[in-house]
Amino acid sequence: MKFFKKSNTIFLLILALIICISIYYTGTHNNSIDFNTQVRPILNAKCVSCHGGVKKAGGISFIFRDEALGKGKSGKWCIVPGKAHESEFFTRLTHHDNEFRMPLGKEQLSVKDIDILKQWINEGAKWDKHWAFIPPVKSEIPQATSSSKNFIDNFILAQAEKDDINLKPNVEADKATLIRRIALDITGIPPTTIELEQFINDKSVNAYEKLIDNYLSSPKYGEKWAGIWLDMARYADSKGYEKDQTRNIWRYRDYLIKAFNQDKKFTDFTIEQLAGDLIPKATEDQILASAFHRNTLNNDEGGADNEEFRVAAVIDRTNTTFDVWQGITMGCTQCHGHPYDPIRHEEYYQFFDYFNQTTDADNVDETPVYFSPLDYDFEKAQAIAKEINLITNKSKQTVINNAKEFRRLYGDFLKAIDCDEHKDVLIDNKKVIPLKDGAYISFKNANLDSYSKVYSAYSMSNNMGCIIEIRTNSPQGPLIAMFDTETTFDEIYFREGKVVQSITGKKDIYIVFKKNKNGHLKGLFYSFHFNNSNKKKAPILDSLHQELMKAIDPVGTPVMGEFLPSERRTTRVFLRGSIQTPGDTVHPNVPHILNSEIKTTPKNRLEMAQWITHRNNPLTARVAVNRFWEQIFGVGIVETLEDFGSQGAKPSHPELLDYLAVYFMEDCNWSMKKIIKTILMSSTYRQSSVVSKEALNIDPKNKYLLRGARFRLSSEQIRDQALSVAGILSPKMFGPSVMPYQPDGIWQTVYNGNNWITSKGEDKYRRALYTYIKRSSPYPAYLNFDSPSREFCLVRRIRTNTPLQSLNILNDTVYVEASIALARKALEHYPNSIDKAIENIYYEALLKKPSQNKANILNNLYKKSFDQYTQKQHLLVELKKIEPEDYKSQQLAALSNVASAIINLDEFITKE
Amino acid sequence: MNLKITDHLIQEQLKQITRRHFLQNLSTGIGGIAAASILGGCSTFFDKKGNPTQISNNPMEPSVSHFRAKAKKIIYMHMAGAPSQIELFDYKPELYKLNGKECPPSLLEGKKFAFINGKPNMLGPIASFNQYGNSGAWVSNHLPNFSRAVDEVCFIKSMHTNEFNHAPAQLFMHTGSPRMGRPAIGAWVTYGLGSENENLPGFIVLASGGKTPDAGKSIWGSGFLPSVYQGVQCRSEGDPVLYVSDPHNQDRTIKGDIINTINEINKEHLAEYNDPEINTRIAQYEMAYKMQISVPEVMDISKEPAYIHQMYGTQPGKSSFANNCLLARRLVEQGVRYVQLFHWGWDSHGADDFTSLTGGFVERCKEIDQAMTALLEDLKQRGLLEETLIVWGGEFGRTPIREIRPGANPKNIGRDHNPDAFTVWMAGAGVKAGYTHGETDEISFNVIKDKVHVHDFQATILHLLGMNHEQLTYFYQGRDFRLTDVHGQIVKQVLS
Repeated sequence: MKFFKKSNTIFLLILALIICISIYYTGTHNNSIDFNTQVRPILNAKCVSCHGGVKKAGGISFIFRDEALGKGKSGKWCIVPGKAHESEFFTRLTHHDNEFRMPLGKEQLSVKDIDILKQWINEGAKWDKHWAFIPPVKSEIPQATSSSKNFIDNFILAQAEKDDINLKPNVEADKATLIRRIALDITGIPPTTIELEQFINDKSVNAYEKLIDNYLSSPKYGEKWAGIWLDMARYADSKGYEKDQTRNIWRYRDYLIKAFNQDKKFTDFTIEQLAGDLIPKATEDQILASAFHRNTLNNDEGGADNEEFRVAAVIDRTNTTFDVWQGITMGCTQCHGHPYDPIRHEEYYQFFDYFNQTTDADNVDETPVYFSPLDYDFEKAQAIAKEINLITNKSKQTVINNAKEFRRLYGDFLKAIDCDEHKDVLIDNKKVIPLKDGAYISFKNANLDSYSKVYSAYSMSNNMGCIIEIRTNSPQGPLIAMFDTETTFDEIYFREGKVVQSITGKKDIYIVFKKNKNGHLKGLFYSFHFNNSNKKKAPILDSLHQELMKAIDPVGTPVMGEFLPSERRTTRVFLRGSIQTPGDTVHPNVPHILNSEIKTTPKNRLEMAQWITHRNNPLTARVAVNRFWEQIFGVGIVETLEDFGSQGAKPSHPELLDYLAVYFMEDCNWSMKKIIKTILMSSTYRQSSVVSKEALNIDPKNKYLLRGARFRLSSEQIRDQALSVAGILSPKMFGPSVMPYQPDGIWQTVYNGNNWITSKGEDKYRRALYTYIKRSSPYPAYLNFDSPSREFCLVRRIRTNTPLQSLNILNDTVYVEASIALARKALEHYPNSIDKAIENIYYEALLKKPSQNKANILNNLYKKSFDQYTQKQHLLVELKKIEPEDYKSQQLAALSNVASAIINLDEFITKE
Repeated sequence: MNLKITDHLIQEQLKQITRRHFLQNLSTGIGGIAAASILGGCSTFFDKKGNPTQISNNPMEPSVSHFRAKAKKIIYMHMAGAPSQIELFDYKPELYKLNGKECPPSLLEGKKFAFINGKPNMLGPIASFNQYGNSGAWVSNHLPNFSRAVDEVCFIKSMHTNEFNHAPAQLFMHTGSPRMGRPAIGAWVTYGLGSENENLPGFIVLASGGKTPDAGKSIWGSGFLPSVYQGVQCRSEGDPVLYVSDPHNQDRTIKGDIINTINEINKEHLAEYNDPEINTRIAQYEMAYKMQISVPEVMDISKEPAYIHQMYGTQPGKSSFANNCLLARRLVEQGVRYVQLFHWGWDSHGADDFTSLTGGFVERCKEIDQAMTALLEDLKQRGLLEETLIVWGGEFGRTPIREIRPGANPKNIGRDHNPDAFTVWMAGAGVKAGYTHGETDEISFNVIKDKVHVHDFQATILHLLGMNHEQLTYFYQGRDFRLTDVHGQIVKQVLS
């Protein structure tokens, strides 16, 4: 054994030597050196870990050319273009003394590598940009072959030929496979058997194209692709961290579904999500779109420092924007220069500044929030208002105004946001934030009936606070009450103030905010109460009044809101990424390396979003088309969706990627439906996914796409498909998240009264994208199938294949119900033939008739199960509630097992 | 010596190669589980050096550690909420005398508190202390049983952390980062070492105290590591593992028939499509069937003898820390690599009876004292302590200053969060038993000797398991990630 190993090693060494020598002779002498393909890989592998963006040992870095050409700490020129022998770089690579030779303490570079570097320096040390930082251009489409349906096929076949892949493309898949594939890709749901039969019977030339167009116009298209985008948005229905309270942000999901279905241009789609709030005369949809970046985590834990978590959210927005639209790992530069891509530490914070100017601040109430007119229950408010004689027929706005007036006059408390006049305060939908010493809000004709107590509802963190003075007539008028506020740990508390004098009757009231003894003037103020009771509680209104309050006081959606220019925050570099160590002040800007063909300095978030969608942004279109490609073929042209930088995977088909990117921008005019259709129209897409042993050998990972892609469905598709074929999937679209079956005892979050209450009726069977996602305890069945917990943006799910997945589909209630529903349907159609019923279930699920062999296996299971139930009647108790008759319940149980087997089949949970 | 280790490693490797071959030959029937890829569908998988590897390695296959280590598995008990070191292990005679005195402002300078405000008072220990064992370790009256076991234990009294809120501090303790999204230490360990039991997950989590920890399931998540490495929560109530129980109309025989049917058809389909992924799926269905049998078996403590129940204070069928301690022993006995226990309810602010050092805290101590001592003694009598590392601790410490909650009943006494000093202990394989490392000042407010940062602690745990924390990396988003980020020094003094 040992001997064999040794001789093996020697053989390998000799082989390696032969290869080296032959490459040496063929590779280095004739052509000039290409920086990107020959030099950069050596620098990245051998040099930049010490001489890169993180460490600049000896003052040397190989990330930027000017730095590489500079002098190190030794005082010698590192690289002298044209003169390898005068370059310290070259000297050190070839130094005879280990103590001086680079890479330090490691093996010397190979002769081949040293020669490449030498020739490169002698040729002038040309420094090319990494391909992904140069805007894409269309290269010439390679020669067509007989199987080409569009340019995609030409590029695919040309690449295989170029790389000497000796395989022929696969034949086209059969119609049943094709329609299932298309429906799953476009709508996320398999076709019905009726759709299948229509397609098979459609003999027209453009039957295939019509099919695609039909599915693209289905509203289910928006649901499927919004579902994918939710991972980018790290969408969840809770705020994260310890408390993990519910967040009301589902209107953002509705926006996504609508945007996809309207085929919103990718540029608009981008700008609205990054800066919809800043678009002049923004529509409701545009404002709601900006909730994209309000999906960051909030820490409501008692005693948490709001500023720390506000900054954490801004960091997350910066990273996510790059992950989603630029496909580069900007996160690295939070702490130091990028380890291998030419992006500097300061550039991170220049970009960070675009997000550092929003008014949200990790507040419990999520300000700023947007109240859609849809959130107000006008009709209800109007009805109640009428009933309590508040108003007679008036316009909707008058109803609201009058209701607010009512609250103020009769509700016995002054709600800060209902104030009539204000100075130097920020007012949003729930509260008032004083900005300057002496800021005030005022209420005209407030009704103050002989009170002896005064309370205020407010919230603030540690080291905040202020003095509140309540005066009449004017901000300088007689003082009637005052508060010295104290920390409430972010909860909204009612705190008692000091009554200076009690007055009665209708008076103008001024609430003035002043600095406290520590010089603080900070807090969120909700309401002020004057009453006689000793209870530290808000006055209790009767139920009708409460209903009215609710109708005019709905829950809003968190959105982005920008500070006025005068309120701008100063952005400073955080040394080593830590908020504790602020460095130099920076101004908003975009990374230089991505800006070379655009050359603008966006001033704010909106201009930054426009910059991202600029035709000459090198990454946006590439990253976008790569994502569509990955969704459809299972692997991106650039496999590392998250990293197009010099350390990411090389594109498998570089010319195709660039052609598609330009095609998306110019020919499709950024239409997402058009680019999806283009991909689906190719013959590459239409190939059968059956793989020959030979093909498996030559191209095991199907990199060359000479066969159809075959991969497991997503967690969402697996659920939706089972419900759909069982006929129990709810078609209901939009609205708040729902709670389908979840095993008991999953939610045990600390300090959070929320419970999982299984939704009623059809809401139990909604599409997966509507499922309530709690960050600290995500829906377990989706986690099993690689869904993320939505704590941060995840641009690529890694597919796994685990026994927990098997247990999930075998035993989870939703799949048990789907199996029973499938069995019942089949029994209804074929009450007299179990063979036919089994065939029918298989056909409904897989759109094909089972082979004789598969049919026999399934029949066998039916018989075995049926016999088992003869002795085990106790297993039929539940089913007898549906099917009381003994024999029939036994049939149903046995056939349900057959259905369960079918929905567990590899071919069912896989897109073939 | 060095030669010996190398030889040993080579031998181990050869053993595994042989084992792999053995299993591959069995891959057609039940039993060929580990041969197939759990990650077959994953297009690229990186090895431990960050290099992409060919698919169809079993990611859970036991692998050779970086160097030979005594600890083969680990039981980590986390007291969620942060237990007070001052009432348990860190004996501070001076602090008794300071009780009720106003806290000098100099002490508060530069300190950030979660809740303490204004002019607080000092709070003397609500406990009495004695020295125990040959090592003379100090233990309070709250842990009478545990005092028996101190000679097995190594205390680290000089822990400190960066975080002073629960969720971020727990994340920091378990993932090396205060933000969500990084792999838990258990995920790192199973990624590095695989699992020795093919029928059970390699990383199992057991929670007690009625709630999951503040940071939720993300502290046993796999972060960017493939999801096979995430902790699997086993429960004493309901399904021991989610979806492991048969639905109402099936039993094991019927389930066996269904799984056989699925796999027979999958094999038919494999012959047609040739996709190796189908082979993996077949193996996973076989594994699922085995798990349906083995998980309920290992989770059923009712068949343990009476003296064991007496020893641990266990009551079968209930959810308790004691039950989880016994389960932890059963799991490591079965070769589970990493068992994580969480016990919730240690956040002693004194806001109410539950969080009072005179109330809930005393109860928590009773819940753990007998059980964790029994666990140590039981592992020892079975010879398992020699290959199992035991870790006990919280996410930070508590202040020597009394916290007064506005409106709280003054009979409830509490302390605020203190990230600057806390105590943890370790025992078992590779640990220097009967030793105390590090020291705090005379009021247990700051560490004054042998500071141990969370990253140092993590580096030490990995070291004890035979892994170099700087080499256990995963290539993600263009760079190598590791548990200890760019920090961490092994605490050599605590090694045996």
